[in-house]
Amino acid sequence: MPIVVQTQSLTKRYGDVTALDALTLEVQQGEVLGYLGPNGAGKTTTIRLLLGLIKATQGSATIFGLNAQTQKEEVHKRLAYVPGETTLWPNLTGAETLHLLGQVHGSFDKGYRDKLTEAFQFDPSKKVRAYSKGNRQKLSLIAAFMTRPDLLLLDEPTSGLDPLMEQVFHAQVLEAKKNGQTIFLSSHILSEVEALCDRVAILRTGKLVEIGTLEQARHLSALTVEATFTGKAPDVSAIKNVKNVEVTEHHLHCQVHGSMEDLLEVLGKAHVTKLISREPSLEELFLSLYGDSNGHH
Amino acid sequence: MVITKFIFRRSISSTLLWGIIFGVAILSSAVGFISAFPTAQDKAQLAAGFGSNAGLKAVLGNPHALATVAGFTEWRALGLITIIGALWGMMLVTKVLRGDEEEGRWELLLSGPTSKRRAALETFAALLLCLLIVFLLITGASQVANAVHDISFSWKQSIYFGFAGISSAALFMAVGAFTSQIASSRRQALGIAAGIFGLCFAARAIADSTTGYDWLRDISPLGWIEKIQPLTGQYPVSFIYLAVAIIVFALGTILIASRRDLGTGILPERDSRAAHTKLLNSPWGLALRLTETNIITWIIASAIATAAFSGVAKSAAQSFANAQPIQQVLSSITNNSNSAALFLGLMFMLLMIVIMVMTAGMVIAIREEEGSGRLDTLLVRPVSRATWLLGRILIVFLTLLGTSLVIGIVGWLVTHAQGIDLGKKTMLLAGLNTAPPSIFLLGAGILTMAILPRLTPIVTYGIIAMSFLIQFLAAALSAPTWVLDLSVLRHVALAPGANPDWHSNGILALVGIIAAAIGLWYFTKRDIVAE
Repeated sequence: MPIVVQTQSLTKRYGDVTALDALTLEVQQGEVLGYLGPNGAGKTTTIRLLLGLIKATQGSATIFGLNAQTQKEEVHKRLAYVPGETTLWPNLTGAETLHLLGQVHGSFDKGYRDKLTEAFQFDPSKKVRAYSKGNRQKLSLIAAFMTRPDLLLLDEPTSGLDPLMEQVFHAQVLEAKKNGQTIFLSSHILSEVEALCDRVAILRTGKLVEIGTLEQARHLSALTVEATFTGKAPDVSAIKNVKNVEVTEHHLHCQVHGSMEDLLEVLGKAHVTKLISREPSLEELFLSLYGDSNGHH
Repeated sequence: MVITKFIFRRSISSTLLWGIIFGVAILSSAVGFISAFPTAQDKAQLAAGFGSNAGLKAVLGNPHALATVAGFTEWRALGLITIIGALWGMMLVTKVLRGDEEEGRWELLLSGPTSKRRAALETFAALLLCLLIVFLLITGASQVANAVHDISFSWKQSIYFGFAGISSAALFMAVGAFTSQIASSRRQALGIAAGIFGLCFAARAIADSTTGYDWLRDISPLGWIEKIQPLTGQYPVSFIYLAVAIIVFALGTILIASRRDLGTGILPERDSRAAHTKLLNSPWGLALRLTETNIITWIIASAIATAAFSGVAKSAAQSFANAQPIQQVLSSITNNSNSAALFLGLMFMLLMIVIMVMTAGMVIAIREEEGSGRLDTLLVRPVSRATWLLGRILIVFLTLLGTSLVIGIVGWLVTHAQGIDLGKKTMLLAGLNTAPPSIFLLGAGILTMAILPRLTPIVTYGIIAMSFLIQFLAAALSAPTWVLDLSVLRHVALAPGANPDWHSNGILALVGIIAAAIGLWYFTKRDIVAE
């Protein structure tokens, strides 16, 4: 698959603060990449660098093989961007805004625009200043999807949408994916990322700490183990690859990185009545990564 | 107190700017009068000439004791302060009330431990603090005048002047606060408040410039302010009328603010309409669409002001002819002995300032597109930064050039209709002569926007304030040449009273164009910066 987005040691510093630290990643055509990270991790900085709105301190970014910083106009003909907080011209109506943004982009599918307007239950006759945050977000989403871009850069795109509209958004993303469009999805909603993304990249304090499929991430991450005992739960905190141990009288909850062998040896001597071992949810994965001060596991 | 602090912080820049300008207007009037009219005969000539000029009376009000420094200062400075103060007051209050409500800031403020009634009271407290600052600057300026030249304004006179000076601002702050409650948008609120001001001004102007309509002065709050005569008579009864009007509007504001839902107004405004896609095909088209109302308003306002000035040119010329000292001052600036041309030269300089204010507003609007994040919406599409900014610069450039031409054309038409034949070419060139300071300002504003974007309003308005200050104060105080040269206005001839200095104009325009070009280049290299 051709590579659509590629960054090499992409870095952005504001004085002494490093907002993005040597980011190197690739996004393939037709892929949906989930881009995760807590507030201030550098997600929006990454997207603004890819859009050429801010200049990189170091490193490079290419989109469709073109330099994202110096060949912006060429790159932008083939992409669309949806920010988490859309700021538009308050005295234009929704229809006027869609017309303007379509014209500025160069081309758009009017039939698809109307279909999206209907799907998102959006009233385009109102002035932007009269729209709620959710409706402004719908407007931004319609403006992005209606151009059928090769790449969609979405930064918290469902911010302000109700659950029904989130489902409409999910359907549009899946349709775009089916059409071979590439999607870079920055989101806080982990269930959304789990449902839509082929791979996830996790960012912390400007550094990429994890990238891969969800399965790979889970495999590489700690397993969650819960055990119930007839007697008192054993002390497993001394086992070196066992972390986050929580013990109540007959119950043990912990996470295991790597081999289970040492833990099973201890548990085997302690009259286990119930043993559950499972891969972490994305939320647990997310939390475990941010709980680890080194950012690695 | 949180809301008081918030509103005060948002208001303090314009408060200080206008307070200082008002102070300068007082100082320049008082000191200028002493310098320009040293003898009793000079003063008598001035009173005879200006005191009977209907046009000037319509603009500045009815003068009292014009042959004295107190009478001249009261007439000239208070006349200007009353008009500008009212406009400042209504613009400020509609911005911090209805404007901030539209931007969603009031939702955040009212989500705190406060009530709508208390919030309205806190807003008035902040506005009161602003008025107090302006009061101190006006009162202080009239006392400083005592120190500069041996003028004997008493503390009582100065305090009266301070109160009279803030009266129109206070009243139209209350009016603007009230219209911000009944209107559904800031534009509507400002429109209604401006309409009320227009009616008050028209009533006062008719009463002062014609006979038989004195009663109109009694029904106009601007007439009440004129009747205070802070330096020449001190009639406090008008303060009672003004206080009652302010209290009525303030109580109305608090009453409606405490009962209405946020984001709503009593007057309806259509939030839906069929799509009008005129001009919405490119960033340049959008820029035109966003600014067209503003541009048309400025051009019409400039045309009206030119027509008004040109309309009184004949009678003003006669006043000039009767006032030997003014003739002497003007003859030191230009060799032209045509009094109408000299008068228009001075008025065209005021119009230069008007065009500069318009230019500053348009440059700041460009920065606001970036600061608000709306520019991102365009730049993430196939739009180059250079194309976008160049389009915006050209719109400002063509607007200011168009406005200056309109000034020339209207000036020629009105003077020609009065039988003053200054020549079409002379008047058109005099109109064009008003453009170079604004071209310079445009360049300086764009350069600032590119390098220090958040300082754009301070630098652009600062250049205007500094030029105004130097032009009206430093000259009267016989400041050194290098200080006088810091004023942009200083480098432009008083056409049509003098021949335009195209060499100086060319340098101003060239500096502006070079600054704009550097700004344009730098803007394409830097990060996009939100507020």
